[in-house]
Amino acid sequence: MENLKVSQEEKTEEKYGASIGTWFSLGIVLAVITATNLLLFWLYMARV
Amino acid sequence: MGTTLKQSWKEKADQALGASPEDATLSKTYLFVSFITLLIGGVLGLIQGLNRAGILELPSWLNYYQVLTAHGILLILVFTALFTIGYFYAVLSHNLGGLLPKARKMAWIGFGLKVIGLIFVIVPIIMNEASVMFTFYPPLAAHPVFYFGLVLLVVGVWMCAFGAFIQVANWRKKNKGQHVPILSYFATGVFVLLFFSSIPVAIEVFMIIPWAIGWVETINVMLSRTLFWAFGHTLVNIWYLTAVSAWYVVVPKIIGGRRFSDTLTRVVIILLVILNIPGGFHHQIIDPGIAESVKFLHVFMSLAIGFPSLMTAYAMFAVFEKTARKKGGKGLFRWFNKLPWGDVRFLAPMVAMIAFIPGGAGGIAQSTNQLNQVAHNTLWVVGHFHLTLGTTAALTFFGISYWLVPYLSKRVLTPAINRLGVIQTIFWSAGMIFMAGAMHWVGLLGSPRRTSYTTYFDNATALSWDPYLIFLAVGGTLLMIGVLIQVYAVIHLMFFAPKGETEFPIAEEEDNASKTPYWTERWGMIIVIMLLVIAMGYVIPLVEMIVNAPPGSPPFRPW
Repeated sequence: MENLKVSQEEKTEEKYGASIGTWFSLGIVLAVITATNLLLFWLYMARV
Repeated sequence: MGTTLKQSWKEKADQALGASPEDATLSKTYLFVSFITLLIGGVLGLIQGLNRAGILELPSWLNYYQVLTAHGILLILVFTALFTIGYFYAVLSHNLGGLLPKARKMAWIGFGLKVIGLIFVIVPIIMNEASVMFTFYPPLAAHPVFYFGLVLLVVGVWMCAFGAFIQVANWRKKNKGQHVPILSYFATGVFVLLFFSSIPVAIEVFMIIPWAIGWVETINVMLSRTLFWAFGHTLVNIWYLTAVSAWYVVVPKIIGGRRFSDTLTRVVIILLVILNIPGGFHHQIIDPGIAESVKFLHVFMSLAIGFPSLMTAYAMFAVFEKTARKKGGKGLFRWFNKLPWGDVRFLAPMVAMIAFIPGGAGGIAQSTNQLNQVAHNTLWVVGHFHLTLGTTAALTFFGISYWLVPYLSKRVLTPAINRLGVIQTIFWSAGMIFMAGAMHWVGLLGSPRRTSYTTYFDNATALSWDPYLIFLAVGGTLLMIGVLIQVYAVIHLMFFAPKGETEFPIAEEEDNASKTPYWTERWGMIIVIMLLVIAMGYVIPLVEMIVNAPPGSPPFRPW
């Protein structure tokens, strides 16, 4: 059981490369930027 | 030969034993006054927040705009400037083998000028003669003494900038062909920006003084505002660059990692220096009388700053992930658990970085003409700079203080003070979520900034803002607790913590790091490009504003 857990973790490590967390975190940054722009754009269009 | 060897031993001894007592005293003085300013400015901020929320009525001898002006000037201009100068002079001393007597003297003269200038600025505010807010541009007119104080503040900053330039130039002369150590490189960038951005504001103040005294009847408001924002916009990025210096160099060391590419770090500094000043017009994006093409250019320049910021975001996440994975971190997100969340020297700047995600996003949105119209002159803007300055810059400064102050005082950060620092960071973060969050939202609902509490004769829209303003007050109270803890921690670390040696944390480069190209050291070329970019952004609009000047404005004192 313990061995299985270890091999699963190794597999996960292979699946997520060393910089996948970095790109995912940057994705969150870009999502926040996009969401902020969309919120203000929606308010702008609603008030024009 | 003998002198060089002696010098080299002195440099090594200084680096091993910490800052020389004279250099340490200089930086500690700057930091001490900086945090006292934070305390006073924080108290004023709490009073202002409670009053703005309609909870606290001010006594007849004190009005909202006095408090607003003093809070802004103390925290935005004085706290940040004193901290930045104290921090970077400690950097120059540590990195470059101790301060030259001339540089140290100039920093002390600069300190004296700034203190006298601050007194000149504050006294008219206390006397209710200068409620012109921290932006102080016409047509609001303060007592002339207020502007004399501003002149002294600017000259004080120039003294420190030239002291730093002399220090760096001296090191470069003795170390030909070598790269200036990275933190001193940051210091150079910051002082270049401080010097060049304070030139337009100095011109503005010299325009205002004869007008405030009454020697001239009117003033060109548009020109004054433009000169102010060339400085004001850059000031934001001076705080940012100061914070970023710790993110790139100090934080990796604290988490047990290596620094990201040295070349990329230096390119980020160069880009922030070159692209910065011409972004000023995005603060005037709704102003009449400025051509659309000029606004477009400045919006482009403002958004260009986002490029090095995204490079920084990538670099930071990459350092965190690489370090955490080396420590056994796994999965898509679980590696975050390997970061030292219980260490305030990491936690505070990390929260600062996280806050910069919505802070930067808000900045990008505000720089866009149409989107700016949704948030312009509302409390959204106040919320925005409480996220950027109040959280991103301030929390990084707090994080720096937990190693810099004990390093300078030859004391150590105890587990108890570290725990207190973690609690302080939690209070600060919670306070900002409440306060800046409420400000952003109520701003979108139309609540104006730079306006004391009013219901506009019980107007329904204005009354709908009240619940959010209560959150603002709650946040302000939590932040005040954060200020008290922070000031206590700094004083404890400066005077009462156990004696011992504290390391100045500077992360090494990766073993296989590529060589940084030497063109990054050509500051003459960088400054010429910066001046060309400034000329591109400002010559045509300034000539236009002077040649086709609108009718001037007399002084206004509505308070």
